[in-house]
Amino acid sequence: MGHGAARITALTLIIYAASVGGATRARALFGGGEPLPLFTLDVTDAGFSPKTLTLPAGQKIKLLVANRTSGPVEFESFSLHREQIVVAGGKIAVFLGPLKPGRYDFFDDFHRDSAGTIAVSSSTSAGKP
Amino acid sequence: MLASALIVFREVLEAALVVAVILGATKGLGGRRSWIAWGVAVGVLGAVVVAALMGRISESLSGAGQPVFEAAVLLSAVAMLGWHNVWMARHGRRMADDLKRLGREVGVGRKSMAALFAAAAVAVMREGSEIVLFLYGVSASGVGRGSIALGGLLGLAAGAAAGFALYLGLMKIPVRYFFRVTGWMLLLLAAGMASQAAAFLNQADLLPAISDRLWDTSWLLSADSLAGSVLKTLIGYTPNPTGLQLLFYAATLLVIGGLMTLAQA
Repeated sequence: MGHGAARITALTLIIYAASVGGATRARALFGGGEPLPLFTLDVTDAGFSPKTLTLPAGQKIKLLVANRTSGPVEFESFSLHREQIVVAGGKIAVFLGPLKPGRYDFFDDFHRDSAGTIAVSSSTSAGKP
Repeated sequence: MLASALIVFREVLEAALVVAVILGATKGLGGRRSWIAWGVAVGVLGAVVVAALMGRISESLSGAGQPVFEAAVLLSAVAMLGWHNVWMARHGRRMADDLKRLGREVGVGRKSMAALFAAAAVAVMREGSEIVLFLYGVSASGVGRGSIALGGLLGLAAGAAAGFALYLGLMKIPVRYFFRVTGWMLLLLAAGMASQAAAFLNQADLLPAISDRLWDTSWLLSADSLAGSVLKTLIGYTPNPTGLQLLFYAATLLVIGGLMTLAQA
């Protein structure tokens, strides 16, 4: 019984992980429906640029984080539950939202004095249906 | 130096706490030290490999490769811890009896030890790859290499000491309750890892957050504080969990806890 139960646990989780992998591959191959609005955040030797990034409320967006420094950085935000490494010269995609209006702090976990804010205001989504 | 010491300390602490719980939970099991020592060693090697490949990992899957990788690694650790826990639920009582009666190490199945070996390796690999990347980055910049190395060593020593302190504390638990307490700790460790995996799956846009923030206890204990990050590792504490995180946390507790109960019967 115990062994059977253990196998089932392991199997369930393996299948789960595999389906996630499958979904990822499928998305990469066929695209994820309509393209998300793109925003860009640069990391330079002077820190994040812009320091305050304004994003629309109520919709999913794709934030491209480009590392223009000569070392690795880690884009991290406690309030947004995001942490992602960007190697020197690299560029990654951080998916965000739909976000509620407000201010969300982020920082570079490898250079703790470097930080910025994402400002989400309700008015920026006014044009949307 | 202080900055590098702090960053290394945080990462080492997380891995050391996981290894300490695993090491504690396997008290009295034959050959556990070498299994787990190998797990740590393989984890360190894995950390260097992952750090070297991070550029490729992070730019794969249209730039969402790293969160998917983290989630897969975390979920496999959850499976390993779950496997061991269910095995222990079945054999733990007899083992506790043997341990009390014979006062020496008892033999256990290779599979169960291999599962813990893998869980320790994975914990060290995840945190270690960040340390390797960070130290490589700062040393490549060429400023103050000596003080950065010293800071790194200090952070390593402090993190390892904290893990050792937790291990010593676990050793004080009376034999009668020992496997029950450590079993619960492994279960909470696994649930916390599942919750972190949930955050990464949402980060990679694979699963919806369900709710952005169910509650927010940052005012009480922030994720950034030392206690906050210790509790994050040990029981999966998040001041502002998403719905998806709570779902993964609860599902892990229910599935592994349920199987443990079934295995005991």
